Amino acid sequence: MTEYRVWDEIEIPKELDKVIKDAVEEGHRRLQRKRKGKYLRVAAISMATAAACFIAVAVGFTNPVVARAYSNIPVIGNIFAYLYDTADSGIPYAQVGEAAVPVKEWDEAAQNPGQEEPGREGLGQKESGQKGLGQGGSGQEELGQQGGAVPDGEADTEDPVQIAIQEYFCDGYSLYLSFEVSSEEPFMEGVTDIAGKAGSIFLYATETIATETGERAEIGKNGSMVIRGMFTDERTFVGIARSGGSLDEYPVKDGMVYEMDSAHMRVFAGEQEADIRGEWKVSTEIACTGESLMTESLGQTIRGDCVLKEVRIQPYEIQVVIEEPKGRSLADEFVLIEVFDDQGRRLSWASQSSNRFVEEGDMRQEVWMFEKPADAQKVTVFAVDELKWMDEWKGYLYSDDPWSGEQMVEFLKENCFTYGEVELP
Amino acid sequence: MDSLEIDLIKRAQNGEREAMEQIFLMEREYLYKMAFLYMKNKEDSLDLVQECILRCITSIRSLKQPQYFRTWMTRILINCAHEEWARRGRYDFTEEEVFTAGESFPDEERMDLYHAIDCLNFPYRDIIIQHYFVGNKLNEIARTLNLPIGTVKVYHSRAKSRLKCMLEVEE
Repeated sequence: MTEYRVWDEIEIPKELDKVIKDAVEEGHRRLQRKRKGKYLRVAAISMATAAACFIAVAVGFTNPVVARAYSNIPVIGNIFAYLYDTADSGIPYAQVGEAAVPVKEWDEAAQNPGQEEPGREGLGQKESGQKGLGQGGSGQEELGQQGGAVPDGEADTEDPVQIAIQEYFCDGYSLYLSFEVSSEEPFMEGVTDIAGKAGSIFLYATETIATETGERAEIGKNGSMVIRGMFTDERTFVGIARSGGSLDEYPVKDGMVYEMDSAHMRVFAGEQEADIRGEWKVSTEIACTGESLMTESLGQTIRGDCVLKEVRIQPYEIQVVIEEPKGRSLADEFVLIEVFDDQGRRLSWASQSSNRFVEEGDMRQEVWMFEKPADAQKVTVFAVDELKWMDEWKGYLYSDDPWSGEQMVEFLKENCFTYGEVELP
Repeated sequence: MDSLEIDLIKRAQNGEREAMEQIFLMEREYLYKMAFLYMKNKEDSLDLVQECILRCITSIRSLKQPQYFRTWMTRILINCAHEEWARRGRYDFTEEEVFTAGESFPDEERMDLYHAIDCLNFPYRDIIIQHYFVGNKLNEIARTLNLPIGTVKVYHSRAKSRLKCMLEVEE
């Protein structure tokens, strides 16, 4: 009964290519509109700090945070704590991030590649526009020094807007950076009451990671980075960004150098936005923090040999680990991981592009990463059949009268493969 | 799927229009033929291809494993076909009605195999089309339809029995 002949005999119409190209163009246009709408929604939350309380994007900027931030935490050099600490938080954010150690000799090294020490060659060679990297010890500024990650040669530029990395946190895969962006002129002309308000800066950026052996890799393939934070005054913005989508499969090791180049930023504050152009280059050496703050073992079967293994709590992420036999993927079977916090908020994916995969023997771990609200006390992790409950998801996400997060949580508890509840530190 | 294709898909996931176009042009023949098996005419097949691409692009970020792009795309195409059939009222058969429909054809020309397949309900029709017309193995079909392999085998057997039954009725 095999009818492959039918398949072979189907004629391809001439207009198929045009149909495909038109469809791609239309699809791309819709995608852009969708993303723009999404981004504008993100920008819109900066209209008021109070409004930001219930928007996932503004998780770190609730009123208690602002109150604490203004009370006793210095901004410079402590942006993580400034934005993330809450009165109830069990995580000492002031101690979590590492101070950024900029590489200030890259320009010098690029100009004098022959003067590099053995073992550092290659980093200083100016090839294909790449910047050379200086020696770690001598090239580092003192920690906490004003100016952060801006190399000396760039700190003296006449660019009216300056960007500096102040701290970073890297678990070997996810890299979070805190930025201070300062401007000689107010970011928004005519906007005087911007201090203390949430906002964001969208950077069109190229990010790279370099090792001591000279190996370089571009990360954050989106070509963009979003810094979310707040304005401390009309000329200063502090915020946190997750580098790219992730560090992908790149083996991040201690001593690696992160670099970010950008020539265009868009600043969002309330309903206002402003485009700023310049030449910004920042860098920092990176040391990884291997251990998570807390790991909750679950060990619950999802389907067959696939297990909801554990939940790792990181300072800025919730990481859900699925263990599955090699060659099998629950994601491929449309089994998705969803996470809600104790306030009924569905947590956004921290990485929009991909999960992390770690192979161990015959098994493979798939790590799902979610943004961690600073004020969450508990999270509930679900393994859900996406297709089976597609209508419920659409209703929850898009209907005019959607279920509340709490209602969705109750529904999922009754209809998921398995779930686990984890108290946060 | 080679690394070039995977890279293309990742670029498409990052919003690169050129990468999207390349991917779908690479899959053009498969997409169209698959659509044709469901829609049976050129115009409807082109419409189905168009709708499938639109949906793929707007949800491409939900694709977690680029190496399964074709499986994922096929599933979307099948869903689009089901929706189109439902919209046209061709998808309202219950299992019992399939046989009734088959038995109501004696006054018409002999119902051929393809018409009989059209009368099959989900997922029997999909399994027959995928297996006998596209040449996919049952485990590949199981992945595409998100069904356990054992279930697909049972459905496959049932689908064949029903086709045989419908064709025998015609004879």
